[in-house]
Amino acid sequence: MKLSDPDLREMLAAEYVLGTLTGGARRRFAREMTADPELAGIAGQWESRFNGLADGVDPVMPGPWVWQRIERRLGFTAQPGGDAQPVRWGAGFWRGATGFAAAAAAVLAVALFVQDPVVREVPVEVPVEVRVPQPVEVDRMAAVLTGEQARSAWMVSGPETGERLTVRVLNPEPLPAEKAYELWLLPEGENPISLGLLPTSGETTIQPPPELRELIGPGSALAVSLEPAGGSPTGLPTGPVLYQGTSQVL
Amino acid sequence: MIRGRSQASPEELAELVRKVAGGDRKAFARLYQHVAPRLFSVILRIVRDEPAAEEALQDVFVRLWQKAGSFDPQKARVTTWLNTIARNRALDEVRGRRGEVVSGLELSLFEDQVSPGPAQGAHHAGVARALTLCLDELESGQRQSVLMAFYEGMTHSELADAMEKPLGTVKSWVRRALMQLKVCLDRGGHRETV
Repeated sequence: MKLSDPDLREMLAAEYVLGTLTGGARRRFAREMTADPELAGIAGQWESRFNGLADGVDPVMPGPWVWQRIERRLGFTAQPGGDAQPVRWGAGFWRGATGFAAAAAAVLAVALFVQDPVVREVPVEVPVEVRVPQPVEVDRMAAVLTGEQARSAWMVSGPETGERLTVRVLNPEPLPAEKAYELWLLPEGENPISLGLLPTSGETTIQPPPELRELIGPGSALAVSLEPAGGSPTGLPTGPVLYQGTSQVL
Repeated sequence: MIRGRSQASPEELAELVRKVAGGDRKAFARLYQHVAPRLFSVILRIVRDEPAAEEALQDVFVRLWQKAGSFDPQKARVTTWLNTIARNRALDEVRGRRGEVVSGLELSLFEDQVSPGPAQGAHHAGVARALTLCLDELESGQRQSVLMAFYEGMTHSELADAMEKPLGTVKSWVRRALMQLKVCLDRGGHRETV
């Protein structure tokens, strides 16, 4: 069969791309395209026309196991026994914060499952004291700090030892002038303890002082308050708490 | 809307695909980070079954890893290419369940045979805007059927059921909508040709 009528070619290509061409007609069209480059080109143009629609969907984050399975299928990782199902993070968690939370998953996937195995260098910023770069543990826990309408603002992750927290900016509200976001650890039954100011772009590493490390672990509650530039003058939150999260074991 | 790390420019994405073609796993991971959530959303809307959608997403990325070398940024944007693979894979999934076999169209976007599409590079933003304008020009039943077919992967008869209209009505809505979209898009979304 040779499709020759230009209008028909155009319409079939459009319906093929839209998905409303079904059954035998769809199969025939697909076959036809492989033999008829110009027809394939017409369909390609329809794909381009409709692409803006697909770009406009709200992202939904796939669970981290999807990436792990891709790596396994391509032979990037050794085959562990059986299929690694997520144990602690149900799909509900991943889907929970809609929309932007997708980015959190993507960041997580990369941060936790893509990074070089087991050890990496301590980032050399924040020189509080003289430190020798040393291997640190991989991230074993993470908290996504969310605000109103499940807006995911930052993700904080680190090893369970609390010796390092990596903060990745997701989507916080733009910071008002002369203000700063401050991160607080909320130990049970105690006053909040400042962990420092948060960035509004990129990524930063916090090295909690040794006395705080034992307070940091899975289940730690974290909160972010809006403070004057430079941070709370009192050592306690003075502004509204806008984002919160609890660290989860990964 | 998404900002920050998850929003990469078409050029950045094309560069990542180029690196993936050279076997760069880190670039592959970054590309996944950038595009997987939106592709997953596209697939999930059509497939409506999470495990099946996850399976489809894996297939898309396995294919991406294997086929990255044949992607030509002169011919399509990375997102167009991947959306095409993802939608076709998703349609295969649901059509397959209805006993149909559908082969992918993505060939047409990256193999040598294709003449350049209308939506490349800087031109694309204009095309996306034009699409919005042109959709707005459609009569509401037409617009709704096109959007539901696109996003939900609905067939004519599913559209007819969903909209409680006769099959023939829906078919002609879709057809007229597509013709009108083409005319409108070809003049760049402007109401009148100058």
